[in-house]
Amino acid sequence: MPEAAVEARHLCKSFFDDSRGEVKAVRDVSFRVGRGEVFGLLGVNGAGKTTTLRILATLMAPTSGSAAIDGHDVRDDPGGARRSIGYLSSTTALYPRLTARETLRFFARMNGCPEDRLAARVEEVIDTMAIGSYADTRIERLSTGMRQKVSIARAIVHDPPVLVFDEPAAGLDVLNAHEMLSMIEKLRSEGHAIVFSTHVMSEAERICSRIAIIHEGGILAEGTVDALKSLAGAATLEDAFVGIVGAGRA
Amino acid sequence: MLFRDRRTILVSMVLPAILMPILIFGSNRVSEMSEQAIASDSCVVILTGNAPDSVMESVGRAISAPGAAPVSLVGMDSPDRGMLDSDTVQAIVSARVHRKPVPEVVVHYREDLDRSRLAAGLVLDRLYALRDSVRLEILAGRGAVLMHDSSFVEIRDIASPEALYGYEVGTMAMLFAMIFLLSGVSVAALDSIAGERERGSLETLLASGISRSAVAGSKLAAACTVGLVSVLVQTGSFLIIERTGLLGDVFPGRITGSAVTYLPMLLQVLPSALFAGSMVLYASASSATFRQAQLKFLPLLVAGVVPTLAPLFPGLEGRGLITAVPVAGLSLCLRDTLAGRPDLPWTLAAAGSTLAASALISRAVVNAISREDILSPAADPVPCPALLARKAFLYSGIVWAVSVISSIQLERVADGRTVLLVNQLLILLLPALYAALRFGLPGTGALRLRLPRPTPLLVVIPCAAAGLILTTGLYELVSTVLPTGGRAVQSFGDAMLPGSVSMTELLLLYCILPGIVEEFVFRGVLMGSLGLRKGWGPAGAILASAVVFGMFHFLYFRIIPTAFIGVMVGIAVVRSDSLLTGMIWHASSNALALLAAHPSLGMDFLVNPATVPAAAYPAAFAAVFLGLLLMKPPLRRD
Repeated sequence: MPEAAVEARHLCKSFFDDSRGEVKAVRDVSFRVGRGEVFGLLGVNGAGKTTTLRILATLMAPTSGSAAIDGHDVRDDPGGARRSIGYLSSTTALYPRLTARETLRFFARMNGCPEDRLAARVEEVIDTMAIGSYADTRIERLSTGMRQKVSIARAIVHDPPVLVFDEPAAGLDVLNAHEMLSMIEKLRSEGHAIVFSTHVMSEAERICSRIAIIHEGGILAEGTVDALKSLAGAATLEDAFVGIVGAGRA
Repeated sequence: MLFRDRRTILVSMVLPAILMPILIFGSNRVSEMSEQAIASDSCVVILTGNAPDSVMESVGRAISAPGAAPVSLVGMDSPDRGMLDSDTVQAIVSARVHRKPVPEVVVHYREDLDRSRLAAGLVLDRLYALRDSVRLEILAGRGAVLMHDSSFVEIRDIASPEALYGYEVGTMAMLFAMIFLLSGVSVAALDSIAGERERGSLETLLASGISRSAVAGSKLAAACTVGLVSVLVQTGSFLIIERTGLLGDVFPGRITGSAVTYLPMLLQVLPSALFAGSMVLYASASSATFRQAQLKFLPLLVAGVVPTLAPLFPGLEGRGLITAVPVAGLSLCLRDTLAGRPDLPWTLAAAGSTLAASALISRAVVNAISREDILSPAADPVPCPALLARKAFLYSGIVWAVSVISSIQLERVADGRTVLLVNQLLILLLPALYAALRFGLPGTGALRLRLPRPTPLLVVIPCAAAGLILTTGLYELVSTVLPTGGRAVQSFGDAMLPGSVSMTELLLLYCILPGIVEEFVFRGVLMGSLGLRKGWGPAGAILASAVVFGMFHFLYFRIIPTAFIGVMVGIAVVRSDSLLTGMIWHASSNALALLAAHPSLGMDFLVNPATVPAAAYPAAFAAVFLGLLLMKPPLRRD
């Protein structure tokens, strides 16, 4: 296994809900993700994917357990962990009145990119993501697909070793979703460690090096697509998922 | 980038810059036109009365004397006051002689009609002049040698016109500055967290490498910048109007100053901007949506503006303890600075208190954006007992306010019984019943609606009597700190014990009804729900509900003793695990107090501190302590 850029150890997260009492959203979740790897969290809505990724992004603190991003503990060094992460979810939005270039400069600064490298890095990312034609257009005037490309550019502008993508293709049309997945593949090939959550089997099958099937807060099985299929004795990932989750329920 | 938003520029700068001169010019012009119109019209004044002819003649001559505004005097025997209402007549002067040798002159007019008000002022001036001259004539006729000059009292104002003008402007300066600050700040800050949360950019921002303090600090800086620019634009607009006389003689003076003046002014406005900014930012951070944040703006405006009214209070100086009140001390210092009396040390002290308050509020902003649920989608919470526990103080506050207002209003039109019934049944019981049902408070759980065991039933009435003695002692103790005044106690007693009510009715209305209703509300719904709050436990719930119970007995000298009763009854309810114990205690306590007020029963030692022997207090304490101890069920040994 490659060197771990993300390490989650026995993560647990509980909420107190007025009507339901204590809700255990994440139960004893552990995994490691190496550089150049896409680790998929596959689960239905409410399985605990977003909570797990928000703990990695330091937007939530674990009730117990720990996690480290590129060596920075999310609890002890949240600032270091955040600077080592590019976080993107289907709900993260951009500032509509900034242009794409201004957005990249702003978030590069926010994430501690040195001033002398800032301009060059922004141009580099604009070239990499091929958004130069609309780099000086305000975000509010861009199409959904263009915005999503700028969002990815925003997530990688400070060159983080780890990328956390929480259902990034949710709400995108087929073409934009396809382009999004292509970009994630490209980022993997550049050596980023990527944690990716989805409930769409085809997305997971296409880009994930390893997949953890998460259900009701706990990881039921983990491995490559082929390993999961053989574990469940299924021909497709979808069948494997249904089989594993069904067995977990039983 | 902040000012790229057209709305920010329009609302915080352009609109005020255009509207303020227009408003000033418009109101000034309207006022001038009104005065001109009134002055050019002649006033019609009716003279009536039974005073001797010589008096009527003198009064008539004085009133119709030529002056600034012409007065048409009409004599009439019995004028109709409706003429004043229709503004056909502006004043009716009645000169009558009753038994006194001196005639009594009464001027009737309508303050709410401009011409009538003006006419009354004119007539009064002329009547005062007449009175003075008649008085001098009488004195001279009786041999007094009067030199006109000897009766003059001369006053000399040694304040310079600049200082006086600066004082007048300074009195209102912080009020206007705060309004402009809050309006400017709100354009940028009200949306900045709640709006970003709705749009999703807050998640992006919070996932970036900067700390929560840096996020709050930069948003505060941006909001203050807009607020300060708004104040600067307005100040510039004011100075232009003042210096150029562009709108005529609106500002009859000129603010003068030097660097020594402007440095304190900077120290007075900057902390106020931070105070306004942090308040608005907190409203945004503690709201799930921009709309929710908008609803909080009015309370914020009040909270920001009220301290700026300090210069309007006579005798308040920008020195002393007032500097500890955020913004209030600065408002006074700003007034003194504009009057040419800057005081740097006190300005620094006032700035310090305002900055400290801003820092505390900013800390609350950081805490609010550090909460994990800041990114959770806003959802309508499901009604449940725990939700009632969170909202209990808010609901109590609303009911309290309604109760205060209705009591004040109802007392004017209804008798004490009606006021009490409305208060108990409609204002207290109905919302509590609704809350208990809507939020599903368990009857035998939080509400403790069950019969007590025999022991609490046996000891509760002696406990109530002993508790009453302790409360009397506490009331006496409180009186040394908060003097009640005999009149307040007397009027309270009169209100509570109207003479026309029978003893049975009194017991029903003042003992049994409050015993049932108030115990259900305060020990049942309020204490029961507060006990569900995380980390509060029975002790926290008993104390908090007792304080609220005390607050509902509005008169300041009743709050602490009533809260004390609330604590004792609360403990009894929790220990006996029955609300009925509390109801019996409450009703008994009220009944004993009522009976003690009856002189023939010889029970006044219960409520009259003068007749309570010193030994009664420790005995009463021991009785209450023992009674409460006995209310707890014995431990089961299974």
